[in-house]
Amino acid sequence: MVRKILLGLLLLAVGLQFFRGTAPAVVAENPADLIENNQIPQEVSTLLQTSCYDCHSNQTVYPWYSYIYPVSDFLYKHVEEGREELNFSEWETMKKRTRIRKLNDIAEEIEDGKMPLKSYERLHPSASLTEGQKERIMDWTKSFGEAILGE
Amino acid sequence: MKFALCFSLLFGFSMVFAQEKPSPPPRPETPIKLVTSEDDSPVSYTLKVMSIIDMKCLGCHSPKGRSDKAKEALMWETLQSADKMDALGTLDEIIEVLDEGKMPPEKMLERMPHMKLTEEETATLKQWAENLVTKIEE
Repeated sequence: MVRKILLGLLLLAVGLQFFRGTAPAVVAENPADLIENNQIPQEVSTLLQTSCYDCHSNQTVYPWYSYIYPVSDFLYKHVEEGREELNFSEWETMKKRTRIRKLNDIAEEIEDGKMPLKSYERLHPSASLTEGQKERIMDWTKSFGEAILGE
Repeated sequence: MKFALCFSLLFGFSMVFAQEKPSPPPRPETPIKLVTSEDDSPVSYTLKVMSIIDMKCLGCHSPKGRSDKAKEALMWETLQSADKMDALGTLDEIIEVLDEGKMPPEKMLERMPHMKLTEEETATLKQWAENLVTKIEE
């Protein structure tokens, strides 16, 4: 009886994979990328890539479990929404005022503890930001924003 | 004679006061103060912009607003004292919201369709925001 239930669940799990959505594309070459085109302090660029780039760039690294429905669709939705809200890979295509706005938003979201997402941090502990790291990113958003304003 | 003179004076005075226009009704609470040209704030409002904001935005985007989410997103009064970076970022968002027709929210317009921004009002607000952006970016 137990064996039949387990077999049934396995078949269900396999069948559900046919409902899996399409992962947002990964693009290796991004000529408009923030880090590619600007002098960003090494520490800040590392933090951005580790804690932000999976959802907020075209260079998403999909872990193995992201191919399993329904986790897959949960993750794909996060990546889609993250890129729509802010995509570092398209930084240079943004107007100056939009770049300033995004920098303000980054500082606010980090200060409020809303980003990185808690669900993301649970699966990627290295993405968690210490208070010092948050301060460094926030300081950078301010100085980088002022530099953009002065262009 | 004296009586006639007094009457004339009284009549004259009453004519003067009668011709004065009645005071306008008090403006809705939390009126936006005009920022003078000497003020350091990069943000200033024209009377036309103020009247649109007053009618269509302050219900939510002011200290007396009912929605915390709206107040967190934008407060027209505090925008007046924003520094260049904050002002520019907020103006960018205002322009985007106007372009996409997101405000006032659909749910509100279902109950109060008269609150919808007209094309002219949208164009006025957008022109105002873009002018300020240009001024700040100079």
